[in-house]
Amino acid sequence: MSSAITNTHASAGTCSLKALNVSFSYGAGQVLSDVTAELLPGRITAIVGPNGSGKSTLLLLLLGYLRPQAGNVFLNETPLNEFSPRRRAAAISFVAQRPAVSFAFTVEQIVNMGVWSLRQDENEAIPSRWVNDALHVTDMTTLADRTFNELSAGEQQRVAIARALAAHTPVMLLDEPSSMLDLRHQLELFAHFQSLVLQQRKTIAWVTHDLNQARNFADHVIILHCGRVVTSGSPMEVLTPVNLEPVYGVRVQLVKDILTFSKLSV
Amino acid sequence: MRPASLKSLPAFALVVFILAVVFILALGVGPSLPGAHLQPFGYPSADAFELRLIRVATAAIVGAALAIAGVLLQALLRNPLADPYILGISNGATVGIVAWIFLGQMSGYALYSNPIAEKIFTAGQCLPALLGALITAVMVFLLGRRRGGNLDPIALLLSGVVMATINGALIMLLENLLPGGARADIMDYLFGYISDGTPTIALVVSLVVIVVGWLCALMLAGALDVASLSDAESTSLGVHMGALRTACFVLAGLVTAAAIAVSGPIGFVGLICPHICRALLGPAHRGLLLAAPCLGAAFLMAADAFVRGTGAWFNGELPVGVVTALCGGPFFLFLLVRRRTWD
Repeated sequence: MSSAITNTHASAGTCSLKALNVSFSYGAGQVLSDVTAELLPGRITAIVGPNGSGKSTLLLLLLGYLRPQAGNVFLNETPLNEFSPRRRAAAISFVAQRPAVSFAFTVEQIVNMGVWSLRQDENEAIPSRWVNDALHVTDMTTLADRTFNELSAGEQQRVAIARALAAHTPVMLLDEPSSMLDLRHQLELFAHFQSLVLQQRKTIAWVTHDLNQARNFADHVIILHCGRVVTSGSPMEVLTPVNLEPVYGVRVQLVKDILTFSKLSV
Repeated sequence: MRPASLKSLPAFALVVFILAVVFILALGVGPSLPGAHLQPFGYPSADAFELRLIRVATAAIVGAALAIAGVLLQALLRNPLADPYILGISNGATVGIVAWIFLGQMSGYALYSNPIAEKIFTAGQCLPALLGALITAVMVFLLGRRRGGNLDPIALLLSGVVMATINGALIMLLENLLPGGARADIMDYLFGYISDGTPTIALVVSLVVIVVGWLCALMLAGALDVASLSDAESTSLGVHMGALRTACFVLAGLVTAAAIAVSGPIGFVGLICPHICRALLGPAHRGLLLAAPCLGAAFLMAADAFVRGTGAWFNGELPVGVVTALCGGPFFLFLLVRRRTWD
């Protein structure tokens, strides 16, 4: 994980992504109501909240996969739905909560899919180094020829992360990217994210249940509860018992995590 | 992905080799004169050679088209058990064809009396076939969808079975209304039958439609690879999933309809061939779309040669669909049992 991907991609500037007063429902109940969230370049944002609070839905709205029923999402002040799928793919990469691949593609083929849309443009020469570096950073080089479905859940997650890294997008959205990773790979992953944010001013947001992780690695935290933003700000201001207890309420276990966190904190 | 495609070169060469061998052998199987079932082997005499060539070519074209449709449907539904026959699409195209023939009969043979009108009528049979195929495909797709837009493989197969049954009933209804002479002809067609007398014009129209569909499918190969990921992931990688699904359905319907128009509903070619090619070459769709049609053509040429060669032992030639179903049915069940570890 020592070698950070150096970015030579000319068109990769910095991007901000903003959800403005978005609301969304899948049909029955309201999942998000009037949510405003801003992801800025050079900042890692953690989105936290209990199960069903709308974290993943917010991420899918920011990705442009779901369309908000009210409000809008803006990529650098331009509504996201005005971008073609390819241009959106060049700006935002995404790691799903449970990555799935239908046929027996190899790890290398899947990571190559990350640069598929860039390769469609004739004038873009995408160096194969991008793919190799992404495999290296996620520690997947030795597994490059294995097929996805014979990997462990944690390794599959690393493949999805490698695919997102290979795309060299200014914005990265990740849905619980480290939920299956062992401790070493978790720490290496977030160290790499921190270097990307510092050196290339990338915009990174991830959904997590691990409040310790949020406190350690995020520059900005958004707490969601019942489809609304409870509060947002720096981890030290926001991840406090006063804010968290009403949100997680009866979930004593998670409050305990915070206590555990204060013991483990580095 | 270059190393992978180099690695698959021997497998691809093998498929092309099989295609060539089967083609040459298939030309030599069958009665030396059309209808002479008692002399089942031998290259036909010069004047019958053209007929044999057309018949073998028809089998090759139909087999290739069904394999292409199989690749597209399997990619679209993210399910290796998909096939135009199993999903009822072949039957949908057949409804269109039978309705077209029915229309011809209703016109009181007016359409057959004038040679030009007959040519147009014969060439035009792709249209109702396409209509029937697309209507069925859309119905199956809508019925197989879970809330949230994901496709449920089991619901999909079930809705395919139901649509195939409904289409089968429609076919029987139309068939019942036809006069006696036309009914006998149609019975063979309904089980899938490569005829000695496929009109050249019909064959040419089907070939053109299939080649166009195949070239379009090849252009989508990269997007189909990416679409093997989940919807959200493939959308994030720049694939317009709605457009890709529509394109796949239309192309699969198109090539299926063009094949069915000259052969009748032949099953399981679209299931077996992509599957074997995936095992040989890996799942990348560019390779599959090149190899599967070759194998499909070889498979159907071989099956058709078998029914030509064995006509003497049966009461005339079997419909070739009987052979493919007897090979493909058990293959399908084998896959189904092996994939029980789905969820």
